[in-house]
Amino acid sequence: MENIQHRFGAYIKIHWKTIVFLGVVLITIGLVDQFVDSYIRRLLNLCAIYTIISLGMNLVNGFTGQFSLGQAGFMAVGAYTVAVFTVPIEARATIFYLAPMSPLLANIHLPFIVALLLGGLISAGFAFLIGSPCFRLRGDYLAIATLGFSEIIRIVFTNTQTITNGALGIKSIPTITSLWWTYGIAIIIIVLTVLLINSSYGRAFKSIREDEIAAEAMGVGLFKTKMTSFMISAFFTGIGGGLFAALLGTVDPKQFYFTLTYNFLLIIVLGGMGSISGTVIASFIVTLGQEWLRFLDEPMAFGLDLPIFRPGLRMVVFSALLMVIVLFYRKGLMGTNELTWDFIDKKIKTIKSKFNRKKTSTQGGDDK
Amino acid sequence: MSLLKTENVVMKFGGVVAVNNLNIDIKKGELAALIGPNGAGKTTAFNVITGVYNPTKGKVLFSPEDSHGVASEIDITGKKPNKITHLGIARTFQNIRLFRELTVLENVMVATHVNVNYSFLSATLRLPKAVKGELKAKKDCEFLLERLGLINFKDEKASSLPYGKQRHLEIARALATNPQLLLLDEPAAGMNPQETDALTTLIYKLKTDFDLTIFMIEHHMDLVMEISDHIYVLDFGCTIARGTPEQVQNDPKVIEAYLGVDADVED
Repeated sequence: MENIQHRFGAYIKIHWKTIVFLGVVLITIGLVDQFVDSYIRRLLNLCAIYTIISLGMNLVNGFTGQFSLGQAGFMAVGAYTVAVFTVPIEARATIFYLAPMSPLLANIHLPFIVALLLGGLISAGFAFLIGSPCFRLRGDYLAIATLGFSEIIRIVFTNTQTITNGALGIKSIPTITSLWWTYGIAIIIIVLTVLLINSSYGRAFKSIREDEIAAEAMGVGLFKTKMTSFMISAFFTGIGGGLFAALLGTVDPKQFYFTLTYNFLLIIVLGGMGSISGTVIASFIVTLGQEWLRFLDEPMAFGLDLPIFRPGLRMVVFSALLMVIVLFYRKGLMGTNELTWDFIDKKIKTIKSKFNRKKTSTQGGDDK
Repeated sequence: MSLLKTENVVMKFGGVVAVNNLNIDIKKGELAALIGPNGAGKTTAFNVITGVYNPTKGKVLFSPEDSHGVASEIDITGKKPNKITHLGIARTFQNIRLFRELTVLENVMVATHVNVNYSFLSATLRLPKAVKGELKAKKDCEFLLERLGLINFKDEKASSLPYGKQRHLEIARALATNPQLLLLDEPAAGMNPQETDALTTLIYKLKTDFDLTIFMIEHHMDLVMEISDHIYVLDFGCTIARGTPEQVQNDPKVIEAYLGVDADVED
């Protein structure tokens, strides 16, 4: 630890609590990984994947202030890359029974991690293609273009029978069940995002969000900076999509409707546009919430046959929740704040002074 | 040796001629001022120089010195604002444009991004080159904040600063780009006489300490007349007078433009 402190100097202070916290998180993951059943395991895996994808989205929408709605499309690219390259070669003939797989791809099999990274890179490549025209214009063209992209990519994947198996989708993708894959990658991505945001590039992203004209006058190249942010975002999302495919073991175009994007939009709005810790917390709240509110979709939710409890009520409740947040917490749970130890200390102090006799403590989330 | 020259710059917006045949010649080390009534086209002239607008006609020439002290003339007409900043022209804004949600220190550090010579990957992975660059940027920026009396506010959000300090922060941020020419767009707008006096002294000191050439738009005539070497007067886009403060002060056209001398007054 001496060593780390010395190397980073005054630039980054790694609090001892952070190291303890990270240790606790790792041990918790290890323990949970040993003992939970497959249902909880899948849910927790999904939380980590949603964290990765939402972080990617927040980088563009929250930190750089560019409104992108292409998460579903970038996810699809990552998911299909993993699917196409990791399905066992012997299983391919049975999966592609309508039309055989293109001979160019039929014999290529990549290790999972390579396919995952490739998925991220291809996503970033698409981001470059979309961003090139959009970032030359001022205004909200990006939202329209990315929304269009995610629909186009879905339709393309539905029709490229020999590569993606069309509407049938690809089954028998080797699945990951261990929490280590998803949580390992999620932690790496959280750390990388924190480091990126607290670097000169991160400040350039934020300056564009705050005031484009001033940022440009201070020497921040708008096109290049926006593009960097957008491509990194797409890279993260592609990786998230790849993990998603490996978690479910199957991909088909219907999973990637643009409505999927709104899950992530909900997460970043709930957590706070421009807050990494907010995104992490909100990913868990939304993913677990959507699952645990399922009882609202059951007709017999409280032992009574109430007519309002029918499929879809869950989403009504969720929408209402979003409205409450927009009304009362306009900046989301965290705003642009981060859950640093200073922030927690301050909160504890204010709570203590409010209820002087009752000692209250807050739980920590992630930290830099 | 002139540092900035504009040659017959014309800026039209549809049928409106905002700037008409602007010829400016600013020598190195000079403090020049651009004055004129509201709507005379002063800020438009600044926007043309800094690349926000591409002029309809004419040229903007800038002759920055390189690291060896050799000046070479560059045509910056229509270049992107960030490229022009990189060459050595920095500016402040008439209506304060700070990065409101960022801290004071971050605001200034954004301006050092122009000199960043490492990729986002080495910045993210904190490779030695990036760490060195960041530490140096931080030190430089803290020095600038110290100079402008903002060091005690460095961790506050820019939007929480009092008005006068926000103006100072704009200057600090512009200086952090390491400019040779500093364009100040109404630095004393909304300041009371004491604050204006303090600002006059500050601008003069910054000019000597940082070896700057300054070009400013200002309405406070005391400030302008006190520190300018050269004054350009614009009215309806045309340069109606130019010269030293004394020459400009006594120019009948200037008096007319400012006081609106017309038939009634002459009677």
